[in-house]
Amino acid sequence: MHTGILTGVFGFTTAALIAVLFLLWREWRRTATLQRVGLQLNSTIKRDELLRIIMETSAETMRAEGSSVILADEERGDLYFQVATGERNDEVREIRLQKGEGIAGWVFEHGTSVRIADASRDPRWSNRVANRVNIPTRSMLCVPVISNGKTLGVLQVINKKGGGRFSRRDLRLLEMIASPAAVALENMHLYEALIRTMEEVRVTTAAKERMESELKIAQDIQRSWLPGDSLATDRIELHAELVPARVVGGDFYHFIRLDEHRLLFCLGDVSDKGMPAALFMSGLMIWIQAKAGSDRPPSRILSDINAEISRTDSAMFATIFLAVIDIRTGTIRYVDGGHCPPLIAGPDGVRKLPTVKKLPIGVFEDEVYEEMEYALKPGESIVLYTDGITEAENGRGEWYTADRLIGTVESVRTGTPADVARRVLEDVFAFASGHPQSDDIAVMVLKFRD
Amino acid sequence: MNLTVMPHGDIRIIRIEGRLDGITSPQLEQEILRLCEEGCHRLAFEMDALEYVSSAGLRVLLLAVKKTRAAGGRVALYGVGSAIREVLEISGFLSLFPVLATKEEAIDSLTQ
Repeated sequence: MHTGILTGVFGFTTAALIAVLFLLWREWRRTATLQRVGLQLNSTIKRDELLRIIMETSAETMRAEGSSVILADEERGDLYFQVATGERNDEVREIRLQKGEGIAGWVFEHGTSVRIADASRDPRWSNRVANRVNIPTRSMLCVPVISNGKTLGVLQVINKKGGGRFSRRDLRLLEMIASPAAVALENMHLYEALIRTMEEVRVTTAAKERMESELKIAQDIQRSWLPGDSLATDRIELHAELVPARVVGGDFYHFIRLDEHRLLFCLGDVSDKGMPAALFMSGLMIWIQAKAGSDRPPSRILSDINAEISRTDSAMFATIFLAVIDIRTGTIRYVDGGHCPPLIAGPDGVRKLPTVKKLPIGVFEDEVYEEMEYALKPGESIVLYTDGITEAENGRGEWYTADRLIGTVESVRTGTPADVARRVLEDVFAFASGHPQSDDIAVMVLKFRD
Repeated sequence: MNLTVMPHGDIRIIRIEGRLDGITSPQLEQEILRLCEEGCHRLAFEMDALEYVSSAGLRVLLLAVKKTRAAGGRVALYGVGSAIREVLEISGFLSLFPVLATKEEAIDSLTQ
């Protein structure tokens, strides 16, 4: 009686012990398996290797005939996976399916795992996909791969080896594998995004460097049109400065000896900045050179240049002050194509030179320019400048203004042309005190010597 | 810069507020091209709130003159402040279009 009870109790206890040991062993084995899977999945970040490892590890762990990883393509809004084809499985073919299409599409859309005994009899089964995969599918497990609440794709294994079915335990194990797989795939995506960004930076930097070097070349070409920055004869002395706001700009000046006694000089501003202005300016410099002739008055020279560059379909223009000086007498004949009024500076003070105001060149081809004349007295200078000086801005939004320019020129009115030009630039930059220069700055000073 | 386009019969009144410079002028340029494409060739520019016009801004005003003239239309300005008037004067642009005091005068000059 007692022994019976004891045996019964003991027998029950032995069975329970074996069962517990079995469960413990199984749990240990599963933990060990997952640990191994985790290590394998973390061994690489490269797409091909990672996908291969996920598939091989899943198939091996689940004792399945095959496995695939189906990933979401966020840009195209569908799903895709790669299958090995060819006799030695060395060719890879990409298969795409819509979200919701087939069993994998259903799992992706619903975020729920499925375990299917006979896939071909499942209502979600897609022949379209199966035909392209070309592997007869019987049993199947399919689980979503989720990282940080986002479904990256699905992981599926097909056909349990030995012909049996996958169990609920198998499904839970695959779900456990999907978790480190999701982390590894997320890392892969981050890595790929980083590589893409680095490539974009490389391409952008290369393009920027190429552009900067092109702008540098453009600046060199533009500089080469300028006649230099100074000229001196026994009676006159000339100095010019040009500071572009961007690498290439729209301000320009020119001076050309027409003959032994006459010098043409001009200064202007193209109605834009950057490359278009620089190209327009280059063309202009050629026309100035071409139309300047000893037998032509400045009004005729400017009308001819204007006729060449005026186009009805273009609204680009240039303001210009153009003059011819007789270097023996100091007599200047000049025309004003919508430019800032020049200054006359001498021992008596500084004043604006009156002009007959006409339209800039490039506006209408039939514009007629009217000449005026002024005789520089010995010791007097004429100062040409662009609105980059009078409209230079400081940090408080104030302008340099024509009045301030007159004051600055007055303080050096008997100096050499180089003194005057440099003093003006110094004062303009001191006024702006680091505020970025938004327009080109050009200044030219011509002095009739004492 | 702020642009407002108001119809007045077949005239379009374009109000420009703020700065018309190299940065903002493409916006006005597009508006003018759009109006011309729609067949509006009589434009009145309301300029009492225009604070500054650069040479790039002048270029767009010139474009308006050229485009409307090509289609037999015209441009008029009104409410021009002294700073803007000085720029128009220095650049010779005062000869390009009538610069009038009021909207009524501008509309009159465009309907004549």
